Amino acid sequence: MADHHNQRDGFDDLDTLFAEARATRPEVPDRLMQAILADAATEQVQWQLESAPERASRGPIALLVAALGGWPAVGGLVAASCTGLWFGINAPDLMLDAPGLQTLAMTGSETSDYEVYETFDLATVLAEDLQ
Amino acid sequence: MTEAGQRLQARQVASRSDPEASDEALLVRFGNGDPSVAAELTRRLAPRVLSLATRVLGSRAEAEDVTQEAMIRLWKIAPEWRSGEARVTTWLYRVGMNLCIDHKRKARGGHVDLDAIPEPPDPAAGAAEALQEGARRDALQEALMTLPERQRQAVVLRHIEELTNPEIAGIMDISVEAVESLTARGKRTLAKALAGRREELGYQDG
Repeated sequence: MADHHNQRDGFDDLDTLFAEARATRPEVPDRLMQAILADAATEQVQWQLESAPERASRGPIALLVAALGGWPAVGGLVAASCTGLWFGINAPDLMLDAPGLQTLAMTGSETSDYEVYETFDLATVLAEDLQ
Repeated sequence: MTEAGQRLQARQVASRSDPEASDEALLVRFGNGDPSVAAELTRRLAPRVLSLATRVLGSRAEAEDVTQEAMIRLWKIAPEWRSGEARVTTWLYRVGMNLCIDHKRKARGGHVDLDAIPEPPDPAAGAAEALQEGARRDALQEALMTLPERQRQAVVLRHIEELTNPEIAGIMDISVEAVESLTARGKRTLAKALAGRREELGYQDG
């Protein structure tokens, strides 16, 4: 009985102590508050830094592709450019073999370097310049 | 503007002007890059972790370290926070509790048997050093430090942080029945420890 009584007292005391503990929770000191807020700011800055290079590397390309009409248009442009390059490297024989082009090529090769000056207008201009 | 857009805007305006916005709403805003809510979240949440860690660790300095680390983890999780899955406070208590266990483990060289090892009754390294604002509060802390780790955690969460048993079960990852058992055993041990000090603590007999 006495033990029970003592335990009851102990529980009552304990509840009082718990209530006091709840009423006197430790306050967060200013320096800890500032440190936590600095951590928060650092974290948000890191997110911005992590996302910034993605934007920088993707942005201009995405803009260029959009300006050219999207990826299908870019594909066509690349194909046309490659074809042009290929003609530039390999085409002279092929093109000179084509009907009609041979005549043009022959005409070009027979033209005198001075023939261009033999037209009336240009000769007149050159003569005036010399005076 | 669409109806859904108007609803969203109204909700955003309400949360910005409402000081009673939920912890979760503020955390989501923080995760979306709003720096203005960090102070309010810290004001609400840091004292809870500090209170818990101080009682569980018995050391104010270690408790402050745990509080800062727990808040860092909160900031980091913010962008990935999934609404409705857990209460922010429950998540934070759980993180704080695990950090306390890590601190104990490091202090003891890598191993803590949570249920078997009572704290060494060394007031110089324990509560008396950390909490010196009154004999009664020190007495409670000294008594708490004699409990096995899990009992102390359960008692602090139940009777000082005033969480419900299901909440504590979620934080400690145990059943509600196990929480009830831990808190009951813990209280009995504390009551016995304090019964012998009634006069010293200023309580009247009878």
